[in-house]
Amino acid sequence: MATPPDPAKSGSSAVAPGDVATDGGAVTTPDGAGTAPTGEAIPAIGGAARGGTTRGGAAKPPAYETRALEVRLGGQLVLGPIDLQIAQGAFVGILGPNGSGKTTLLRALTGGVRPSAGEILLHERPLGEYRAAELARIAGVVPQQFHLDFNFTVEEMVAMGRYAQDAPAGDGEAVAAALRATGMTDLTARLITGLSGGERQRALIAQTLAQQTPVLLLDEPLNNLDLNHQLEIMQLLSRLNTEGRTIAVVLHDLNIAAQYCHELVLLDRGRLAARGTPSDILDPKTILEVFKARVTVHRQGPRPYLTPVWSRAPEDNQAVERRVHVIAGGDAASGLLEELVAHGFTPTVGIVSVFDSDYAVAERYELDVVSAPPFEPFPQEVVQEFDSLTDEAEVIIVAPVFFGRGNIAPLRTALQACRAGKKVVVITDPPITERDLSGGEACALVSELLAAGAIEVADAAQALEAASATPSQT
Amino acid sequence: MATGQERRRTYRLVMAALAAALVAAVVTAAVVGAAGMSVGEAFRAFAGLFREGAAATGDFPDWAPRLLLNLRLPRIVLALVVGAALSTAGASFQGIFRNPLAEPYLLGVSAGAALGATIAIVWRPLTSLGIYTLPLLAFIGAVLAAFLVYRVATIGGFTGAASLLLAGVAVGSTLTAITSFLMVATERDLHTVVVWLMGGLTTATWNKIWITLPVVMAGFVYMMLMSRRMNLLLMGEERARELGIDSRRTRRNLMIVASLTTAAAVSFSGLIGFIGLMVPHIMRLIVGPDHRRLLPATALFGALLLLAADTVARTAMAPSEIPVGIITAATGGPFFLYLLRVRKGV
Repeated sequence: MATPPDPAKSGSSAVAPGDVATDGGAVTTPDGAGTAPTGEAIPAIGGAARGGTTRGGAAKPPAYETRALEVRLGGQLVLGPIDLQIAQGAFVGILGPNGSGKTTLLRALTGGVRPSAGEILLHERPLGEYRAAELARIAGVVPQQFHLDFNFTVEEMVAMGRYAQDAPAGDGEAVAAALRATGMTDLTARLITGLSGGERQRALIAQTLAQQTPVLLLDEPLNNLDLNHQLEIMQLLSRLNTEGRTIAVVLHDLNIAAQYCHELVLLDRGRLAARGTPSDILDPKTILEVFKARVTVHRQGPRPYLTPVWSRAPEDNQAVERRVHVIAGGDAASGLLEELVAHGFTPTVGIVSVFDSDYAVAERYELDVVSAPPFEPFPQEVVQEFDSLTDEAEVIIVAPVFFGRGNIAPLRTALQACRAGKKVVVITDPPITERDLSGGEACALVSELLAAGAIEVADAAQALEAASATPSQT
Repeated sequence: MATGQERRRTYRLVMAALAAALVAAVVTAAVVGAAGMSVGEAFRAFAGLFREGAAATGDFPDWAPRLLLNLRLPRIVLALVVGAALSTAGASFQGIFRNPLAEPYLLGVSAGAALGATIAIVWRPLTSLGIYTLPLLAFIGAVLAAFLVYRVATIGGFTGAASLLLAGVAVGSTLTAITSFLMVATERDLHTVVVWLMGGLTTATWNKIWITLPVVMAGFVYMMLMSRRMNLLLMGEERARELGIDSRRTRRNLMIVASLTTAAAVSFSGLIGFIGLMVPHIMRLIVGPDHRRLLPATALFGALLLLAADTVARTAMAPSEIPVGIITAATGGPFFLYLLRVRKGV
């Protein structure tokens, strides 16, 4: 059946191990005939919970399915091959840098461009078999480009969305509802040609809503909208999705996508770079790979939040060469590790127990990590491995770990290294006295470290700054 | 601020005004002319057409009924038909191309018709075929030219608006060159060709109307059926398809129908300029861009305008006539400039 998805990109690099099942199943990449709907068979654990509610017991067929879809424009392959399913009731955000094929993918789904290879199924029927009027009753489209230079009123324009719909009796109501939903009620009598860019955009969305289709495909619907209208439109889409509509939306703003969409599809140079829930695929490494931009990811709430690293251009890779080791454990270093990765470092990590959050973060970014089995003192051979790794490091950062007798060995190593002249950075907030489960040894070691010239910092940002500084500055 | 209700009210008012003006124009056109009669005489003569033996009463000159029936009425009706045809075809082309500068001669219809007519005039053996030789050849020339333009502009099944405009210009100038060559090569017919090219309704007969009218009527009915689709096409082919129409086929069919309508009008009237460009414009400013209202208003206004122009054409310098194309161009050009400068809505 379908060709296997691009093995290098499609999952392993972006989706952390063990997180596969949290994909709500709304976006899956069929690996082959037998194993295709893995995500569908397993109940949603987290993430796209609402996507899961629409499926009920028996799995509904997907709204859209693409098989080895390829699109060429002017002879140039701009998209594909792409294997993608969009489940009924899904709320999918399509992301990617400029020129990654987002709009082309969406236009292929609307029938605006013909695939040069592969096929697209809508409700299990080839897209090409639909007549335009049938299609307009199933999938409403908000295009990126829209021109209407003739002076229709807003109401007249929105009413045009009713052209293909069967029941003319409901036209007035559908138009009024669409105008209400987009906040255009006060502007019904205005001429299109006299609207602002944002008002025009809302009129366009209203025209599409007037079609009252079960599927909505939107290409950057937030273009030209100010913040409050951006949020209004996204909330509107959320509401429509809760009512059971399937939504696929191309977005530029990663945070808005993370906030509202249940699944994300990340495109890069025409290929599927990653797909999954926002928390699965939005991490500094993927963003750096795909967007060539450094961000830090905050994971306090249920959905990730990205902050761009304004100060440092992605090309500025001086720091990357510097080898940094982070003494981690528990959840003490995950923020620091993300920060380091976002700034181009590839730190080594250890010693961490395999159940630690820090371990998961290190795995996510494919960092070198010294790990130990959980719930027991670090074995001797692990400590040796750790010692040799820190030997190679130029900087050692001690994260605010809770130190007990079982995991204190790295701290001793750090002290030796510091005395031997290695740069050591110690994060002392929260203070070590609150984290000492070793009966005073950890406190003593930290004091000795600072006495031996280790740099004391309060948080991850300062640690990063200290680690980045050249030796002469310290 | 034009609400939907206001627009509907404006539309009803405009249609009523146009209908009234049309009646007045028809009566005026029937009465005025080289041979004069009063309105009363004209009405009695008209009524006399339907009553045997009325001629003897002396209520009107005895030549009046025949003058009305065989000269003035056919000319009036042909003016109405041609005026409506050119302006509705113009409205359609402007809609299809989303371009207010589009006109019915866009696809080379005028150049094709001119070449056909010129061949009919200069090639003596053909003239023996009778009075319908010229219109027939003009019609064939118009349709062939439009077809050629469409084919040339269609690349890989796709017909772009820009390539159509360019192909129209290219085919048009080629055909015009041939026409000019024929005119120069056969000097003796130069005057006949030039007069035809300038457009005129002098040779109107009922037979010509029976040929033209059905084509124009059918074309108008088709345009009206497609009026909502034309509205969607104003947003572009892709958006129109997203909202549920087969844009390419609709566009192609409308182009065919509009070109046929234009060809039918042109073949009997010559090249009457500006009506097809100007009338849809003016009406769009008044009744709005919705084709469901624009097309009927355009048809009435186009009919009215050409009838008025033709009446001026045959009375201003009576008993000699000015080609009506000169009147429409001479008044249309400045008026268009006025719109352009003052309304800025063009």
